[in-house]
Amino acid sequence: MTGPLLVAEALVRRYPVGRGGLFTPAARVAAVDGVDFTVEPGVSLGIVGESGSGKSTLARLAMALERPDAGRILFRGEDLNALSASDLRRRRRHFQMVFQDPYGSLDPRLTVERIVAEPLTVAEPGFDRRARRERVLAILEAVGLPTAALHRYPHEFSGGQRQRVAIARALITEPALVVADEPVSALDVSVQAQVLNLLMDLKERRGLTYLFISHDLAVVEHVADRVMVMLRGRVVESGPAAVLFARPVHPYTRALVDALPDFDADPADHAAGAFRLGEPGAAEAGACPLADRCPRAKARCRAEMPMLRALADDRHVACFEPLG
Amino acid sequence: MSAPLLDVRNLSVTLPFPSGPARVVRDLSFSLQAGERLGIVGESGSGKSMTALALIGLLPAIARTHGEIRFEGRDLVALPEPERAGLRGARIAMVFQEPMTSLNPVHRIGDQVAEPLLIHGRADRATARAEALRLLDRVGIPRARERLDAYPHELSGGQRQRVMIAMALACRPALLVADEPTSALDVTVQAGLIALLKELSVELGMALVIISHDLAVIGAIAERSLVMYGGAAMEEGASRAMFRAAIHPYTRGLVGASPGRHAVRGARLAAIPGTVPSPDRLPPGCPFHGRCARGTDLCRDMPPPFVGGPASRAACHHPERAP
Repeated sequence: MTGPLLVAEALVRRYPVGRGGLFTPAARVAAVDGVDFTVEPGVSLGIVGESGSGKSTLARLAMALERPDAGRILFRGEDLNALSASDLRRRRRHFQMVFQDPYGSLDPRLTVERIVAEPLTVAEPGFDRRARRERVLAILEAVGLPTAALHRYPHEFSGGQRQRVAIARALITEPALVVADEPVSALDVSVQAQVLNLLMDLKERRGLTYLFISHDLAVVEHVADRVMVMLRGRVVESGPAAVLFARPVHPYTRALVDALPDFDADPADHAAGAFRLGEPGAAEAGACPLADRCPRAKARCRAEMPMLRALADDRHVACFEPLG
Repeated sequence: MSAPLLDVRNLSVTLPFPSGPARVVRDLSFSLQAGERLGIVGESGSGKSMTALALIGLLPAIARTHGEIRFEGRDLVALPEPERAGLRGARIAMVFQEPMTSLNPVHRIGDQVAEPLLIHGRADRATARAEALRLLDRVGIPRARERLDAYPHELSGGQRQRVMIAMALACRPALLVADEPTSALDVTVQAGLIALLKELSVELGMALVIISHDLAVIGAIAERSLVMYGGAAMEEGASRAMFRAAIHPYTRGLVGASPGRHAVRGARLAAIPGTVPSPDRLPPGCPFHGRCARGTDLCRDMPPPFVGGPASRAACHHPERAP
């Protein structure tokens, strides 16, 4: 298979805010506002952003769980939203999702066997029960769960084990792409590392590609090959993970990197050199999405939206006043 | 060395569990000098929040407390509630994780910041309002005068937490207890609040106990840290030195499990096997027994003593290095 796995072209998704009046439609705010990206097979893309950045909306668009208001999402060259409902359902086995909350995303009334087998039942209805159980057992083993898990219910597991169940469910149809939206954010640090290790192992063993979404820079930096930084529905910087975090060019990326001190660094040194943003204010239409908080903002940043442009080191940045 | 501001001795907190009462804080001892900043690090179920509630005197009524919490020379555990209430918000103040649930949604923020001054009889209405304005301005609320009459929902999450801090500072407490004060906030907003808490502690000579699951947050703000697990103190020491070369296998485990600039990108993290146990399922000995690579039968049966010098202490039968 050649060509990219997933391509997003000028994706826009707007949501209504408030209710509008009797004759006036509700105002709409763009949660995702013109986002392009490409995911090559085997090259995991991390999406970093804070609350309200549009990263989870982007995940749902990538999974064709929501339709964009404009733009296209192509999986292996096919526009997912142009497919018929039944064709889309058949394609779903190739791209699966893991959610943040292993409590909310697993049906509490079903056994682990039913939960994990469900996507397979949809993708391959012909499977007989024996063969299906074999597949479930194999995938449970791959994610490090015991055979005995088969007949248990979600509440009988710890948070980390539940997330393993969710991962098993996502992998049972042998997808090429896994969209993981904050997959370790609800877990304790000691357990988070187990799940991150598992995700990295599975990537290698099964040739998976991740679209990995998190607010936690350290987690994304650790797992992703390429990274895209989002702010208020737009991409402000993207590029190889190693380059982007080592030398951020966009003030927002720099602030994100500086905001998380390593516990090994001298707090005094760190605070002295840290790049800080102001508290967020109201977003201005037609301005840089960081203009209200950026210490480098000039008149142009408040009057014009910077577009993404390519830099020499395989990186893109949308900023009029980039860091040197 | 003068008498410590806060001296916690053999503190235990017991709560009822379906299987019977269990200790959620186990024999905890630590002390704090005036103006000092101590971090308490722990995962869920470590007992860190219960310790915070014990300090401020807001444990649920069903909790049983043993041991001593000596604060400015008085034992808070033995103090009758009316006297404790007199200290709360005056000498000891607290900031919680969720500013939206801790602020009253139907009262203007100026009135809420002024309230502790009125309750503790420190000021009349006009003086309290003027002080509220000064405090809001000090904690970095822009256009504080206009914001005095705003309601909590009109502010961002970061600004609401700044209002909480202003409220906590109103009576100039000697000790501020902050439980996950930045965990609900975006990292870029979190950074500003960490800097603010640290500045205020220095400027006002106010001692700070900051509680977090996040080593990086603790390391940025507290010169000394206490690591808790399963209700017990595992290790205590100077934050940076401790995270660099921990004595206790659990502290080492936490550091190794955290992705960050010290970890090699894409490499496997040193995960701690197993899960955090429920307080009613802990062994009589070290709570970390069962997940610890160095654990023995001794660890399971005998709680290790919390020993060491003034620089660092740890509770471990088989430490990674000498304390």
